[in-house]
Amino acid sequence: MKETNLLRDQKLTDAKSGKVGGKRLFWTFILGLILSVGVAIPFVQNFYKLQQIVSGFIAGNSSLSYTAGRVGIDKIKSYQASLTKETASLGKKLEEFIPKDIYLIINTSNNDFVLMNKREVLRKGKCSTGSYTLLKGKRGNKDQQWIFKTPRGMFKIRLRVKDPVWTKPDWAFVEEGLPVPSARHPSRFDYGTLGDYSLHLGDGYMIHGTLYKRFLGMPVTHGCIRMGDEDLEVIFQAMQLGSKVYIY
Amino acid sequence: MENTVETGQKYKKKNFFVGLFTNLKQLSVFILALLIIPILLVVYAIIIPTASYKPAAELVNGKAVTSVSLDNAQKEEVRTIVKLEKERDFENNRLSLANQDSIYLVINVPERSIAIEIKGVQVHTATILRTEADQKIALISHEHLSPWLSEPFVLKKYLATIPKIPIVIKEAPKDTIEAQKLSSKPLPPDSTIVLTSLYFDRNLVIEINQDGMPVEREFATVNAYKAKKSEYLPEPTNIAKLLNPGASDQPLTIKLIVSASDARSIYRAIPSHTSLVLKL
Repeated sequence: MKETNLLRDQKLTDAKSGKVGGKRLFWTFILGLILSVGVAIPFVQNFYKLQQIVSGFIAGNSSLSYTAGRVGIDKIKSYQASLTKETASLGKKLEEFIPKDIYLIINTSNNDFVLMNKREVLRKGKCSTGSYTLLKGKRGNKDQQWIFKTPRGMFKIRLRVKDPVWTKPDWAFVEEGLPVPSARHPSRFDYGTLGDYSLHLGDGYMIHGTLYKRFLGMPVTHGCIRMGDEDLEVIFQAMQLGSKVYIY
Repeated sequence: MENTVETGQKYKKKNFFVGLFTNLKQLSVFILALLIIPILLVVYAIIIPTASYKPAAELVNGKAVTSVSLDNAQKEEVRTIVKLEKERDFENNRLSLANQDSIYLVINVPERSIAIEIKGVQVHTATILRTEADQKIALISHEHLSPWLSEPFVLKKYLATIPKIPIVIKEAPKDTIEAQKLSSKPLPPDSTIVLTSLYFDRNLVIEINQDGMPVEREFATVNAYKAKKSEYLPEPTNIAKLLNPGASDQPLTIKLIVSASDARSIYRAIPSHTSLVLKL
């Protein structure tokens, strides 16, 4: 008993003097480990974000030595020369895609146009393109619908007409609540609506003038591209058969 | 003596916690234990995956490339090679798409430009006002980035605050009287803030957003867009993240800020499965 008490006294003295036993260190370690899990949770939740932060710090140019290894240190100069040549040749090939004659670019989102000669802007202005209206109607007893959108892509001028006459399609009558006449009926032919000129792009789509100049810059058409009188005149004179029209 | 023993035990219990802050040895063990899991996690889930990051695992063919030491002059020459290879791949991709009959997107991040091209002709060019690129991009070595960028990307799905095609449905009037009643006035232009997310193949996400903040009436639209965005790219669970901390299957996002009119034009112009040529 006396011996045990002496041992306890010794432990007490050890504790007071700062000496720590293995058992206490073990439990300290376990306590730290348990709390460590709590500290780790925010790491796990945010480690994609932390990866981003760390990435910013460790980004460097160590990859250059791998590129040099792939190319071969003794071939750097010749490889550089061949790359310069190859890139220049690709640039030339791309340049060939730019039309040699005047071309027109139509932006259907902003409803504007740019007339270009190679890289030079000849004229800019407002136009009107498809309204994206879906017209639901009937032809006879059958349900029919038409979507009024301007097609996108590259087109060529197929026909140039001065003082064009508009042959009204079926939807023009359906839209006005009129019965659809026969194909050659006189009411099909409308004089003056298309303005002074029309440039045909195929599938019934045209670039033409308009009576509704206040709507230029807005998407109001049935798919054709409407221009103001002066712009149309310039475009008609500049664009020949086969000239390219880019619509996006 | 009994009193002394009891006092000693109490002191020991109290001292266990006091020792955490006063006893250097105990404090060291405690800090070590406290930091061991976070440190292991930082190494396992952050340092190792970021240091060995590849943009898309399936595209990086594991050719063994030796590393050589370079002096400053050689480093400069290799930098020129890297620049030229990037330019070559960029032009090559543009050329391959120019031969196809479609509208495609060309993004040149170093030159801060986004272009819409049709058959090799730039029909629209927008200036990038700000770029917020995924930090991981800076980490990817040219040897891994080059194969990733060497082919055009293909758009898989998209999301935006504005409709891609702003269709208005109109019932045909029954007669001329009804037709006259129908308004012939065009709809006012849509001024909703344009935020778009374009999800391409090979883990690439391009966000093309307009400059500026949404106004109050747009909050609902923007929130719906953000909710849909998190559905499109759901955040993995913590367990899934732990099991696969490697970042190869995480998307790389590049956010590009342009003017409102450019953001609208670009989003509306590009086809649903457009291709993208990207230069970083």
